Amino acid sequence: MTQLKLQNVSKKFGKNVVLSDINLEVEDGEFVSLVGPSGCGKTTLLRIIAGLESTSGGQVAIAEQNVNQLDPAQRNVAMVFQSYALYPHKTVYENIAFPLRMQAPWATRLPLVARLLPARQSLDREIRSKVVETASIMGLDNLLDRKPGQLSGGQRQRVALARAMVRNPALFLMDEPLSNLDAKLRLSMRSEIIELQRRLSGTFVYVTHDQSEAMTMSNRVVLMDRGHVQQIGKPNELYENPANLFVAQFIGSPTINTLLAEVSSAKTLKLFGNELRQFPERLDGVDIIDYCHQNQTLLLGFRPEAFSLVAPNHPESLTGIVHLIENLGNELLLTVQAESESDPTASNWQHSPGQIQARQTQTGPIVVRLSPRHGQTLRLGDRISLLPDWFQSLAFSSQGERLSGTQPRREQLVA
Amino acid sequence: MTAFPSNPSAPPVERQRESKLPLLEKPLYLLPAFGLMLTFVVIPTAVTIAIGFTDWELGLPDFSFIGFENYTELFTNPDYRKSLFNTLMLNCFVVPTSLGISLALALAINSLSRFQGFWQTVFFLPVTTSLVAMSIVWRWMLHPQFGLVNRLLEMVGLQSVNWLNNQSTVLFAIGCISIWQLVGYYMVLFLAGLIAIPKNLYEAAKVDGASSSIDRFIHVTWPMLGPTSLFVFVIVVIKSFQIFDTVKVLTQGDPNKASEIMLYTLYSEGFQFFRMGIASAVATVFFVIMLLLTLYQMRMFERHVHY
Repeated sequence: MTQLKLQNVSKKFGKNVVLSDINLEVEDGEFVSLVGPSGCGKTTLLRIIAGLESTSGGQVAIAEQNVNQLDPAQRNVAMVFQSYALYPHKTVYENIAFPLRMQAPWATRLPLVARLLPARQSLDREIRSKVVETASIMGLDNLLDRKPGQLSGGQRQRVALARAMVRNPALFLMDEPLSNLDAKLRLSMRSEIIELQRRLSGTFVYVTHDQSEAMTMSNRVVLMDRGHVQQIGKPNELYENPANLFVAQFIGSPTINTLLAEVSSAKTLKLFGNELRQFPERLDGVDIIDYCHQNQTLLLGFRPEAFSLVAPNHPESLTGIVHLIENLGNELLLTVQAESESDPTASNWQHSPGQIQARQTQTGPIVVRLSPRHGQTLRLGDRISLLPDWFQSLAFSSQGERLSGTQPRREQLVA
Repeated sequence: MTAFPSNPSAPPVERQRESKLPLLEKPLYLLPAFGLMLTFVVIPTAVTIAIGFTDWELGLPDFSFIGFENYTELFTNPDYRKSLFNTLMLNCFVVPTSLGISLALALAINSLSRFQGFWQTVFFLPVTTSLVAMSIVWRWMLHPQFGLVNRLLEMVGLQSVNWLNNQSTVLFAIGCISIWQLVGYYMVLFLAGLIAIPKNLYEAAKVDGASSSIDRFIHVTWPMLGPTSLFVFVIVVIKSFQIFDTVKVLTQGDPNKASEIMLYTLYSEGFQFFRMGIASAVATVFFVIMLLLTLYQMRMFERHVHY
């Protein structure tokens, strides 16, 4: 069943277009992340789904029912806020019980009088059993009488999650729930939320600006920029098969290396300040000689792990100078500078953040991920030769568009 | 240390200077403020309490201590008891009404999307006026024949009332003027409290099912406004015990002592009849009532409003 369906959803604040024509379908039990740089509209989209913000156009359907005209309360969604938004004057118990109390008939909520109603007794028992059960799942059994002010950040986060799950909503909406936690706690809460989602088999829509959170937690990722969906796909699809340079550069850390490629008439490939006489003619499904001869700018993307260290004077290798060595224990990150810095091909090109159009700025060296065993032999200032894995390369136009589209690549089809 | 030669020398100098202060220097710095407090607060209070136990009259060179006689007089003489009773009645009217109106105004203005500043100014304007001057205006507003209030009443077909000369309406009229003057001030305090409530809480409440604004008021606004409400409550009580100008200008306690309130009794005993002993006793009783009320409020509510 489709738990959430967005059709051409758009949002304008005055003349400012925040979201344009968003289409998305989320299946029951799916974990979908909305990710993008700040200001991309992901939080606005989440608030539209929750009903806290109206749409300027398009339709929102939850559990196959159009909810455009419904209040947040009637949509049967639960939301976890970045600031947790716990009621500071209520105990943990009352915080978790609040959505249940609000579902009950209003007469049971009257102050004083309600206590005399016979229905209130059984309602209280029912609420108690649900709250206690939820609290024990979240490990909050001993904290039920505390106020949120007496809890740590992680505990508050659990209360917010418990309050969301206690009434079994059609949809869980999470607005950067982990960004207020410290790094270590964030990692453990990450896995806890994944586990929770499996256990409840709930449908989660999760907003984050952290691409690694989106990649590790979700079944599918919706990458947004400036109110447009850039790509929707499984985490590995976004990584291996990005629709454009923005996606390629947003996903993955360290960022993908983007090199300007020039093919001269003499059939040499200029790349990273090197002139290669030997190179594959087709890269990422594009005949690069043809493409360059039509006098177009070609950008080649290489992930940091798409390089290997080879002996000097290897015919297909790129030479450069080791500028920085970062040994992380499990991997070695090398920052490598080209030898001829004045050459426009010698730099790692970057999209200015938040922009699709090419306003590339040349920003220095490339970053290469190697096995840590090379750490013993490499020194700063060494001249090294790197062999790019041509089959992992991604080809982009100067507009940042992927030249081959996002069709599955040959090697993926084989696999 | 050698790597950063520029900064490490600074802190020790600071410390050295501090330790060089002579022992007497610190009390010396405190002396001006301390002296002022002593002269204008502590000593007058003590003297007032002391005079309350004497029969001193203003201008007379001699006095004698008469124990609690002034206090027995205060609590047995029907005139003084009426003054005490009037003060309490006035407060019972002014305090809840001011709180209710100012909160309602604050909620209304806070919910406006435009012209908030305009309405704030409108309701705050009376606070900026001189109450003595405004009392004179109000005397004409409430005038039995020419007053605007009575003309309006007549227009809607009601009987005109001689507000300030009628025993049953005079306190009400004085209370209303006080509310009119200060409600804007309390409103601004409430507005500050409302603005400080995180928007997220309202959104969470909406998603959690509190779809009516009454539900959101009960579960978010009112509890989150607790500290502000306590503060405003204390201020309202203090301010309404301070009502004096209107009584002095408009009624002088008349008719038949129906608008005689404690502060006015204090004034007339002390500065019209020169009976400083009894006036000081009134002042002491007033002081004790205010002190107890404020302490009680703080104790009572502090537990309930801070989370």
